[in-house]
Amino acid sequence: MTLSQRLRGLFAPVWRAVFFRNADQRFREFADTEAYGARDLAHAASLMRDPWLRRQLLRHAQDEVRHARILDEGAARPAVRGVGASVLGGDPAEAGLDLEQLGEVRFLAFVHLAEKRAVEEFTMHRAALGAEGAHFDGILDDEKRHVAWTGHALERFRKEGRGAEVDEALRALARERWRNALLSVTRRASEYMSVVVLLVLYGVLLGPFRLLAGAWRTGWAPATRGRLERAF
Amino acid sequence: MRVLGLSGTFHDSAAALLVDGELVAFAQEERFSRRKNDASLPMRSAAFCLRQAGLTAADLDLVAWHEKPLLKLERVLLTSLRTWPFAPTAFRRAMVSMFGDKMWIRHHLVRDLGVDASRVVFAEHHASHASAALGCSPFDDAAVLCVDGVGEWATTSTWNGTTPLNELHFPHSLGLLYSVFTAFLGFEVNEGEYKVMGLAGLGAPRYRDALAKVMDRHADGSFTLRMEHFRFHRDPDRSWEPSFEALFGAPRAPGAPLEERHKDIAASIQQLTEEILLDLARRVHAETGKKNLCLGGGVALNCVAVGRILAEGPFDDVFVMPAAGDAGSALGAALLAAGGLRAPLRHAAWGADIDPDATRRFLVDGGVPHREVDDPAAEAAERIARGEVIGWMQGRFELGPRALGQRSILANARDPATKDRLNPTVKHREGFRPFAPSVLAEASASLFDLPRGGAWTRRFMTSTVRARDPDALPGAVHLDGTARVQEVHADAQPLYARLLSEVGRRTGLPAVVNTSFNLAGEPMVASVADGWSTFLRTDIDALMVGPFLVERPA
Repeated sequence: MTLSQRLRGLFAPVWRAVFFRNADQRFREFADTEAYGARDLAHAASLMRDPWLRRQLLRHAQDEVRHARILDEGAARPAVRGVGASVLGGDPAEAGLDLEQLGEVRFLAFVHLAEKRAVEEFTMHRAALGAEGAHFDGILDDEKRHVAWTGHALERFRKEGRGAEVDEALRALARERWRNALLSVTRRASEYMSVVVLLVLYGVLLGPFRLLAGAWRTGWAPATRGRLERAF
Repeated sequence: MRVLGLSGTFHDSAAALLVDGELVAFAQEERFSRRKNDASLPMRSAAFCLRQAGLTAADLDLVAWHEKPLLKLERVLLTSLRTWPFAPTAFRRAMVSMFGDKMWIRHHLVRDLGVDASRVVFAEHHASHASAALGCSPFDDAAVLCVDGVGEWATTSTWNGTTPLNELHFPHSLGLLYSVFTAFLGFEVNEGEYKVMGLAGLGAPRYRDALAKVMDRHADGSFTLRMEHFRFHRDPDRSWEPSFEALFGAPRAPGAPLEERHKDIAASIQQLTEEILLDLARRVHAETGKKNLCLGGGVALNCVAVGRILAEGPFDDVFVMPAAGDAGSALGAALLAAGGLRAPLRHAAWGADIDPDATRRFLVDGGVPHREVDDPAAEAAERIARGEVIGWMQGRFELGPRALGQRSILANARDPATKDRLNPTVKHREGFRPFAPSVLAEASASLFDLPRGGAWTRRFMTSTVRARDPDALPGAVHLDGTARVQEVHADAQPLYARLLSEVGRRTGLPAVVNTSFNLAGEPMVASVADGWSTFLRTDIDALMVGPFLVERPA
């Protein structure tokens, strides 16, 4: 048994407790990730000029569809948001992976790194779930194949004289990962600050104006406002 | 004159382009971004519209936004004051949303679209709805009624043609009331309203007395919500007070089994909605004396209520724009900015086309087994007649939430097993959800009890009718005997009409079950890649994209 296998065995109960406290929900999330990945890869395939890359992307998408089906079994349903959130406006769903925005080298570098991380994570999931995680075996094999083909695709770019572009894409994505982590922390911190500031504003400044606000208008009111203006 | 209309930042963002008074393109952002009800700034759909017309942003004379952000801010601030001190969370989130994004629309459009700031105009939200409703209708003149959740302040508005008459204001909103019940019944707001409507057909309206305690209706057609039972105006996460639960019982958790009580609640709110809309229709008829009515706003997509307005209301004819919700307000804003233009819709195919060369490249280079067929309509009809389920992608995709034969899943309407197969294994959705039929327009009267007007609502599947013999179309008639029929006209949709004719030759009935080509939680497919990836994830038997047939591997 290798050291990494021993370490995985050691951490398996903790990993299981952290990641699979609500296993149904977690599998559903994995299934969604795979399904949306398939969608993005198929879309990228439709835009990719190189036939070999197009075929690989489609095959990859088919794998992701199969994974989604495997992971989807017995998954929990998503929660429902309140009407108020719709009135006030909420955050849109996370954007997908977009070949048009990233360009083909950066897109494939992104997929390559994402697949590498997927192999690491699925290896941990497999160890943590024990016999229950047997269905991860096939997925893991596929993910390793995805790492191989995307790595090969990046090598092809290098042979075409685009090595600098590949290296820059990989470096940029690594930087981006750290930057995103940092942004996530700072965003969280600024959210906390905004909570404090806005709550103070709400509690202290809005109160005196409460009496000036009047009551809800009921019944029909004549429409008097301008319909189309340059002013917003 | 070149006018781009845009809607977004709430839900269903979209773009529409008018060139010299003609509609050139319309698309919802979700079709390109693949995010259901995508609310982001519709830059992909705007780019598509410009591409379709061979224009750049610099060529635009006006860019019209579908609402007025400052008026919206006024509503948010006054709501915060009127609910003080009970809405700190709502205030905080609203401020972040308004000042983080929605107040900078002009800046975003200048930066992301590349237009000059002086060319950006803002239309009031209900004016956008009304403009779309009237402008897309076949009528020269009509009364207009707009009902939605909320725009800036208006939740309901009446119009005499393009002249605004009266409004009801937030929080007294029929759309929001319906959405409260959508959430209460465990469905997603702004998405699950169709499910409530479908569920209503299975229940009895036993909760009307309880409903009377949360809302007052008035003789002039207006209504007032008793806000002590609601908290959607001050709580983003919970829509009702405990007193509401005392009247209707515990809310249904998402995914929990549906009980008779849930069906009865759905039937009650649906019946109330129909009655209020009938009251409003009578009022706007009395105000205007017009013979025809155009309906706008998301509530106008309640096709059962539209069916009742047609059958019992005072108007000779009714029109509902197929994208009556916020997506359609992009087109309404463009029509308004172009000086109150008219762009009557004969069909709904204004989105992106299927490119045969790109499709061939995708399939050939991608190694997807396929063959090219001479007659896609006959091939699909043959398969449908023998019980197969077909993914059908032809021409430009349709506007609005309904599949109208451009991006559809089609199946045999005569087969009773169709519904049981489509819901769980193809669409992956709740078993009670009904399916709708597409029929050749000439055959419609023999299959359904048609009201005297409403031909245009049936063209776009925006009203329901009663089936003469539900057993004749078991796959496409709801359990209550109604159907949301689409009448297909050969002059507007020649290929789809021919498919129906071919089905008729084989089965004796020129009708199919037509449901949107998507999976639960995803937008309808747009491109061949979307269609193919959706095909893989469903039990559809074959995919027909343009002339190409993709069969499921044995």
